[in-house]
Amino acid sequence: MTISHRARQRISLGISYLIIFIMILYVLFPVVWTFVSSLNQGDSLYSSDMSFIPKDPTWRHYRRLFTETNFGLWYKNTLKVAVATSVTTVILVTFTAYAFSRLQFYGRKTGLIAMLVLQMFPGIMNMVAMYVLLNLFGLLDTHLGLIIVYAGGAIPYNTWLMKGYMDGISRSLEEAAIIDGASKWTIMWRIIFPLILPMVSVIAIFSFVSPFGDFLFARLVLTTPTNWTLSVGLHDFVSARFGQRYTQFAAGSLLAALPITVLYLSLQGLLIGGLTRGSVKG
Amino acid sequence: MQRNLIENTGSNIGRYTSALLSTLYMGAGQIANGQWLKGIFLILFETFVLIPSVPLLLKNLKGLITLGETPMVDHSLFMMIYGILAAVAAIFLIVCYLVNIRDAYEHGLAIDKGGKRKGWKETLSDMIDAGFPYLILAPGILCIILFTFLPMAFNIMIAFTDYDLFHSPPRHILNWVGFRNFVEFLTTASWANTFKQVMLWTVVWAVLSTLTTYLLGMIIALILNNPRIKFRKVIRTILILPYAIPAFISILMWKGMLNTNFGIVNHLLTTTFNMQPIPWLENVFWTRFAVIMVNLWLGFPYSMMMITGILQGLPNDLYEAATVDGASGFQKFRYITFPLVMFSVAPLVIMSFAYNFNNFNVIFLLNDGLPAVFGLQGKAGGSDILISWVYKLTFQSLKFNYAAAMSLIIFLLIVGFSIYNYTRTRSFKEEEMLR
Amino acid sequence: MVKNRKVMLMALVLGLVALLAPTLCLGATKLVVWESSGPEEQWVRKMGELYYKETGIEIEVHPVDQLSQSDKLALDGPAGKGADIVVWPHDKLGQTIEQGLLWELPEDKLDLSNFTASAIDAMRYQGRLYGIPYALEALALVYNPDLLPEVPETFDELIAIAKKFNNPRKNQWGFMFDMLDFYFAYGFFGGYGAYVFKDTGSGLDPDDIGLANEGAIQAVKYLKNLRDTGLIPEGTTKDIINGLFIEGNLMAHINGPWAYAEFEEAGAKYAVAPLPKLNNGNYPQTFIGVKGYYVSAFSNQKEEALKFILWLTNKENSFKHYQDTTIIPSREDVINMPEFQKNKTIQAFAIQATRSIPMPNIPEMREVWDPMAHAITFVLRNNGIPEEILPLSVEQIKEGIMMMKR
Repeated sequence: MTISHRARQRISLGISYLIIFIMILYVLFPVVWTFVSSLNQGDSLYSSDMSFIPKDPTWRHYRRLFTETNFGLWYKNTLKVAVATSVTTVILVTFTAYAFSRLQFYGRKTGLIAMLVLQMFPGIMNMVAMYVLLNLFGLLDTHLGLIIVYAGGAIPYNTWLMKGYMDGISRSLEEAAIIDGASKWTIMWRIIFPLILPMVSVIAIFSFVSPFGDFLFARLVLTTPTNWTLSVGLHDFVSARFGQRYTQFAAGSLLAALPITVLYLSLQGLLIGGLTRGSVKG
Repeated sequence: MQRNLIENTGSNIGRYTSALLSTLYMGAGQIANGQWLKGIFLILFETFVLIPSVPLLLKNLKGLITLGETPMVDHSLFMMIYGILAAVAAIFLIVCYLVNIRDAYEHGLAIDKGGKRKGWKETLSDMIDAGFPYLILAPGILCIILFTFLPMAFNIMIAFTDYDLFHSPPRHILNWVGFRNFVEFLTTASWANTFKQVMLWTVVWAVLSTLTTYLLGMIIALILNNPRIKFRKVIRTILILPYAIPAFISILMWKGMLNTNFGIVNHLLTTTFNMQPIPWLENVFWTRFAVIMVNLWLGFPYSMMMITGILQGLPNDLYEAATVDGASGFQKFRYITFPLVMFSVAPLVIMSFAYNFNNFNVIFLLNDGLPAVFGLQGKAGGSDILISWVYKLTFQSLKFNYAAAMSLIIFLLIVGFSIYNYTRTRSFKEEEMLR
Repeated sequence: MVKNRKVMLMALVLGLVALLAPTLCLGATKLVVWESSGPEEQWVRKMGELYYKETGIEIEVHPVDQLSQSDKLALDGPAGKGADIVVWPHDKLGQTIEQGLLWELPEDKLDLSNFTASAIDAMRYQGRLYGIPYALEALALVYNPDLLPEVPETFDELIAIAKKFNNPRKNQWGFMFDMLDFYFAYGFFGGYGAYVFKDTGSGLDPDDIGLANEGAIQAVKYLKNLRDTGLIPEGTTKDIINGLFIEGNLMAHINGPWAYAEFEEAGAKYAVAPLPKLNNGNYPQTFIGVKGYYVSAFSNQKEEALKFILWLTNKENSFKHYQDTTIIPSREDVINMPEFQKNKTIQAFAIQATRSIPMPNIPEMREVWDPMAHAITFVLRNNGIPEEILPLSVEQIKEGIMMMKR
């Protein structure tokens, strides 16, 4: 170990910290600005005093979320839908990806390309078709309907993601297990699944987040206001042609970001680290 | 003993007869082959599932062709969807039937060659083994058919009808009009020049938005992979915020921040650096720049997260061997990390490109495709991409058929490009190798 | 624009005729009404109870957002699950009628003399009546009485006062409005003699567009002058205008009745006046938005529904409606009531409404917004010549309409 090596390391560490610092600024700047704007007196996000410390702040918009709207209810609804979507997607994708990655069957390669291609379609009229489909099964205005559509639609892309990851996991463990006489199911759940936890976390987060963001489709499906999810409810504040309540929307949106952030924080243990990094010793 | 019983009862009727029997009625051939359980199951299937569904399927398929007869009673769009479902179901049943015939034939073949008839336990375990992939794929495939394929087929069909405001169900019955929509739309106006400009920007946008988000995501993921950095958990969580906060409000805030005379960005630039205010949303170049910048802000956490996940799957031993060989950090990155990550990520990048080609969320919300550019026809704005322009032309006029037709064309473009590039990547060529 | 997304949403709906669902027998004594959740829904419910006591007919109110009702009706209507009475802003009228959602009202049997003429006009499509109006939304001059004690008679005077007050460096602004939004800018167009679609007396003629005539050219030139005064710099959006006004840094702007609730809550000083005269002696002819009750084409009790709507919008109930939800009623007799006239704010809007025309409710109107916004942009930002730009924009509009009708 020469001095120059250590110095090099310190320099690269310094650069890393610098980049991180810049990124944090880049990320936090609008976030903090959003928060400050949500403390504005009126419905407008604009404020003449361009400072990060508001001169005349009010918590009114936050309060009103809970006193005058069904914000709490929407929150609950969304959490319910998000968790269910996340779990369903992970299960479906794991099964499907496992098949494409590990099994041999007729139409495997075609199926892969088909999945790649199908989800590239700019589906302008998609929502219409989904609406009709849900109506056929009596799932309109239900959360179950939403969950099914969200989870089902997430399969192609996430399968690709998961499959790629699975491909990178060495087969020696499985081969050893087969020699030991394990069934296909055991292999899948007791061996593969623990190894793919990082990617499972990623997909879990992705599919947890999507119900928070979708309002076009949810709005079409959920007509009863007590069924609304967060984004439908929030968009109601700004969907009128005039008189939109932007500050209240901002307040609600910031609050809506909390569960996702918390989830990410807690899943980081699974996301990073994970078990053996895909190799078998001995 | 059971086997002897089977061997001795009845003669072997030959594989062709079995196949023929199964063609006439599912399960018949299997019974002739001696597979009672399978045969009975198939017979029941045909009797209680297949045959009763035929009239329903035929009706819906017919509905698909005629799209209804009576306005206000028949609803064409619905008939389309039912027709698609019926077509899928019909194909499924036909496949079942064919598999049944082939199975009878194969089994007959095996027996002809002198093999033993399989007892039901063996058959069952054989079926589960062979069917395992299909079994675990079944829910996924069902979802893909219903939620990805069905809407796409629906979209494509609309491109061949006359569905627009003045021909909308339930008041009107739709009609199939062949390629008329494509011809009309493409020959309508002097849009050639506009099309070129918009197309060019669309490609640039797709490339830049994909590359910037992936690169930045990768850089951050790699930096944060270094155990020497402190507070990584907190840093990662902060950096996830653009993803966690609903995009709508973020884009709205950016729009306000980038306001030429009243936005904080220009305020800081003019007061701190004494610059002239930048016409962010009034000038074509700056709007495009802003759009990419905002998209980067929104998009990098996603790729950062994903690549972090991928990095976890990289095999440790390669790095250890490299350290033993005296490789520097940069060399490790260049020869191990980067290729391995690219390998996993290449198909995803292509998919992202295709996605961004049609991603007009940021463009729409930030400045609605504006600024207006003199000379651009058909309501196109300076930051409009192909899909947002088509949307303005067709959806705003409620010409759903045109919108669907153009989506189809855009789709074929993207697919052509993507498949071409994907098949050239190493990921594709070496995919079999890796398995 | 969010508006366009809404439209896309609206236009997406398809109805399924459920061959399964037998028509729910709605019995002759119940009417279903859809209204946006909130004060409006509560008001209809309250009135519904009164109506029930008077007539024995039950009124059931379901909360459905006005802008999503047409989608829902296209689906539920044919299946017999739709409402009898629906509500949405009048500019969707043409579109929804083309989709077959509404029942034509027997106008000759009705006495509509007490309704504001322009409001009734807004409820007509191709010369036929489809709804009864209940509220108006007009644009007026909203100003800070501390900064502008007295509103001048003419616009030119207003601009002069505004210029004196205007001082960007001290963050003082005299007069602003979103010039690039054709809805707001139209007041000048109308006032100078331009028109969107010619009113032939039996409906609007989409082939006769008056947005490139002398009046239009004058209007655009006036807007350019406004821009050149520096009162309204680039990037002046509604959000900024609202913010500045609440802070007390903006003397006057153009806004509608949706705004003052916010001003009240924030404790901002405000007063409303009709827009001052233009320099050709006319008042600016702004657009009004009209909200009306319609009868579903799928309803089994159209006559009963009509009766309820007429009761709901009679003089007494219109006044109650205003008291409960501060709408601007669309009845002349209510506007002229002394109790009503006490509210200066509403009075101002109501007066302005008499000088306004309803936004065209024909589907072709959708093709007008973007080309006109672009036209104004080119003149204000790129120094385009109005005489050249406007005809080109009208060409674009016509092209769009042609596409729409193919």
